[in-house]
Amino acid sequence: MIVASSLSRSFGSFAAVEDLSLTIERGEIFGFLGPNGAGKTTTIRMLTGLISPTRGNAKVDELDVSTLNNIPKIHRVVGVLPEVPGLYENLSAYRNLDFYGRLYGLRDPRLRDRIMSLMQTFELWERREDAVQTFSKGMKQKIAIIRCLLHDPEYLFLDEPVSGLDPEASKTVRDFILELKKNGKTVILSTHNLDDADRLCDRVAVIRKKLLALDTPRNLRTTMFKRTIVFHLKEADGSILQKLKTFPFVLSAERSGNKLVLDLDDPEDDNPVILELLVKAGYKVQFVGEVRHSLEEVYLKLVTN
Amino acid sequence: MNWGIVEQVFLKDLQELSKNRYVFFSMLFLPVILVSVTVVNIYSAVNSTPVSAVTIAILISTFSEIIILIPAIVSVLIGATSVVIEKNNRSLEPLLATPITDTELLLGKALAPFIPAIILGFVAYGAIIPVVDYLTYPVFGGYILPTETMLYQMFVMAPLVGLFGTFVALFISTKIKDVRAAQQISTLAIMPLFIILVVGSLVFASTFDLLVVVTIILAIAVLGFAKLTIRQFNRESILISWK
Repeated sequence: MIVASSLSRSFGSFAAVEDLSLTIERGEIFGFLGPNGAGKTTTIRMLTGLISPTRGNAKVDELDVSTLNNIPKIHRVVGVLPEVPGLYENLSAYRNLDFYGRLYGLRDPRLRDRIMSLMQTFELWERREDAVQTFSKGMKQKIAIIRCLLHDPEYLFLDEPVSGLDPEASKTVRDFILELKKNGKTVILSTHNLDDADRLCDRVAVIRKKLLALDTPRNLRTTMFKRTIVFHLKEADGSILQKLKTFPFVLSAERSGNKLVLDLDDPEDDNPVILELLVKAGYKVQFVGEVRHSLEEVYLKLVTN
Repeated sequence: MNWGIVEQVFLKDLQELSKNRYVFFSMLFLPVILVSVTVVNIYSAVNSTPVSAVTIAILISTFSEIIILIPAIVSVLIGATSVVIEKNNRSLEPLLATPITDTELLLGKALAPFIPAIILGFVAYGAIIPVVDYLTYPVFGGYILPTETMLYQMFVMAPLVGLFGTFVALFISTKIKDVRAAQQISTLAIMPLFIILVVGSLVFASTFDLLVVVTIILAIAVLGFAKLTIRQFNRESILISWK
């Protein structure tokens, strides 16, 4: 489990992260969302013991990240994918991974097997002896992902993991992240890709120096937005709107062409009442649907406010 | 301290350097030139008429001092490159996310320039001693090398000079992002050493006392740069201020 309490970090007079408190449970996929400069990378660096907080503290499996002696222990249980792959361009893909594996104390044949298995998963084994400088951006990103998985860490911090990847490779990475979760690993994502965060994350933290919101994507949507129901009619006119607005559970009602767009308190109970009214008034209801607000809308509302 | 990790950083740096043709050939070029110039000069002195044993002795002493510079210049070439490459590749963050400690990183980074520099220095001395002995045998009627002074230069001064070049290069390259600029500034920074050694040997003919004085100055300089470099080699400085 990762616990951060009032975590803060300043660079001179500039506060990069202020008073961040959160808990990341084992086995969850946790997302950090925020605009550029919001403090996501600084937060990840503090949580992984790469830089120390100026105030507050964080613990990874009860190990305080501010205690210097704990850092190698923490680094044995975390894997970090930085924003930039940071590979040795002149060396081969295999040698890059071999070097990092040895820093984690892995030795052949276990190390070789591990590298082979991961490179095969990401379809790079055939290119293992090629210098990294000959690789595309996406291939480099895959090598960097493999690098942070070599020592089979419990916690994975992935900064923009699908950045630079084509749709097929992105899907491979997403599926792999879900597979990691199935195997009980904890994945902490920092991403601008809200669609990915929505699909992958159990919980997300929206930050902008401070924590703006922390919940499941679904709960964030429901707390940030009212539930909106759209009634598609064969023909609609504005006369029904006045009647609808008299119901206390109808928070707002608008007509858009042949659609009636209503914000409701509790659609499960309210929809039958509305439908009955519409049918009695002679409207032909073609179908009814709920508007699903995207995480992007939630994010933008939080960040712009 | 995990020496296995230090060894891995050292080996990886050497492997990377061996792929960098510019550094690799510059590193080999200097000893080849210095050894060749020494041998040619001694050969000319031996074959001049009349043959002057004093001139030959001064030449040997001077070139012996100059050979000491091989560890300094080679360590500067490699040291500056190994740190700047990490910066340019932006590979320091993933490296620091492994269980490596700051001390292990610094040691690995320091050994990568120091060991080849010392080896090349020894190889240069090892090449000069038999050739010069062979050339000067008819003049002196015996083998004159290695002298006590030369042994002192090889085993005391050359390693110190190598360390000096290493720490100068590591310190300067933490501040600079361009390999060539780091190498040039580091070379400039070791120039006072060059002046002390060469001018000293020409003016004072390399008396042993002078060498001891130079050794003490060198040791102080090594300690000073080592301290500055160690201060720069902590993960916060590396991640935040190494640009």
